[in-house]
Amino acid sequence: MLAGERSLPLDVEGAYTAPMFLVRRIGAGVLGTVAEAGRGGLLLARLVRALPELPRSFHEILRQMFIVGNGSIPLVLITSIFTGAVAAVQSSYQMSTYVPATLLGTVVAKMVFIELGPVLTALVVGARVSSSIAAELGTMKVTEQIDALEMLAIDPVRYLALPRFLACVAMLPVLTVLADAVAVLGAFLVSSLTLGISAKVFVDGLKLLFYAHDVWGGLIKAAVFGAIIAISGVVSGFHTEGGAAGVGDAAMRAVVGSALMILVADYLLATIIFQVFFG
Amino acid sequence: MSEAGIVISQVSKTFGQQKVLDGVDLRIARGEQRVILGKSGQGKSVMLKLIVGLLKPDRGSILVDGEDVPGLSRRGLFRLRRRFAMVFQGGALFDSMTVGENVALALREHTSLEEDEVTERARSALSQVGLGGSYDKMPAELSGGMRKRAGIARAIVTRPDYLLYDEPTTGLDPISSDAINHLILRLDRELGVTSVVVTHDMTSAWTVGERFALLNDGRIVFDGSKEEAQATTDGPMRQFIDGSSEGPLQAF
Repeated sequence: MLAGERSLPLDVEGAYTAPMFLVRRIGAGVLGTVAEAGRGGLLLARLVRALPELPRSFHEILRQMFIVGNGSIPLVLITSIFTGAVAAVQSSYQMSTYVPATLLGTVVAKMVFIELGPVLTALVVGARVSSSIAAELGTMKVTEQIDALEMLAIDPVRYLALPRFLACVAMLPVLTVLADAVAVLGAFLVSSLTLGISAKVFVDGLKLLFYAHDVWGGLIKAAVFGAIIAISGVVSGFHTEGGAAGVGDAAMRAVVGSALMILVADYLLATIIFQVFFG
Repeated sequence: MSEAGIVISQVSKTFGQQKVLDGVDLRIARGEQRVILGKSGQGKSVMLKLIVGLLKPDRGSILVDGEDVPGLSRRGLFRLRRRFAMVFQGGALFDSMTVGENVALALREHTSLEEDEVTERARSALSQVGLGGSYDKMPAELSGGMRKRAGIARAIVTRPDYLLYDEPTTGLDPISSDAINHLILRLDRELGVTSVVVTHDMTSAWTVGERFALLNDGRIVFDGSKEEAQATTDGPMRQFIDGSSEGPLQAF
């Protein structure tokens, strides 16, 4: 009797546990994403409100630009030289049967300027920078340094978030220009050394159908990606809870959040920039 | 006419499922040296953060010199906090700056003082807490006690009306604790500030406090002068003073 009384509720609970667990996980994930997006929107509004105080943060903005830009150069160089090389090899393979090799430079340039340069740069720099921002601000949060700033009547959004935001928005396009150039160089080296395409043919292909707005469009995307990277890092950092585990969790959320948002924004920006404005 | 000082009325605060404060009433007069006692996790630090608007209460009112803190805008809160300073439990020094830059930060942000004068005032504040030679050190180079003293220097450099201390002696050896207690006492006398010290260290409390409140289960269960606290013969305050696990205060 006692065993029967015990087993009934356990069975009933067991029957609901697995699907309910899944529903709860999905629900929590959706709510978490909406909350994070909401926090990002609120932060953006507070950043805009803090803009008039920008001159007070001038020195810190330059310092952050150096950290974001200079620190990311090796990563961008390695990523983009191989990106260009892969773009050349893949394009050559896919085009070999129906497109003349003279167009290889054209195809690689389009791919790099519009898509690969800005997106891959944003993904690798985003992983480095958003996790670094989240970990730094997260540590400040859990050691009460953010509260200490508030107590000194210093707005953490103006003092901490604004310089990082502007540094990312300014430096992502700069790094993308570098990435574009190095990727094209990588493609050029692979084309001339392994694919048997002469330098003249590659460069002629590069010039063919070259539109400056392809590059500008890519750079606009890079600036937006910079904003996403900074906001993702700052939001995760400012909302860190707990100790060391909380800081690790914040860094992970920042990287995942920035990568997902970059890919979503890439689609939306591609539609807006290349179909609505330059289409 | 509005009352000077801090008036906390029927304040409640819940985090998730946990009700930390449940109808707290407390008055802290201007110029008073108030100690808020309580076991760990009873919401003492939460009370400090509510007073300065770092947290908002779920219910109740908090008046500082007649100003309703939860109703203040962000700008209003920053204006209010210019009259306050808080010494955090772990010091909360900005670890990317030197000790001197930590202390000078508020002056650089909020005053138009010349750089020489900013440095001079920061050095003077550090000297007051016995850290005259630590201006150029990084916080990581300081011991726990020195970090707390640097936190106190950062707090007093702006000459606030109210000084809030969150567990000023926690984690320190008895000698450093005594030094911090006498520093707090000296600063209270020299600067004429209203101080609120949150602690569970009775040695510290007897040294720095003139009025005592005991927080337990979300409510103030004792509120009286130092003499009244010392004269208590039973109840939660006596148990807390004696540090006994037997009595109305539950250990776990």
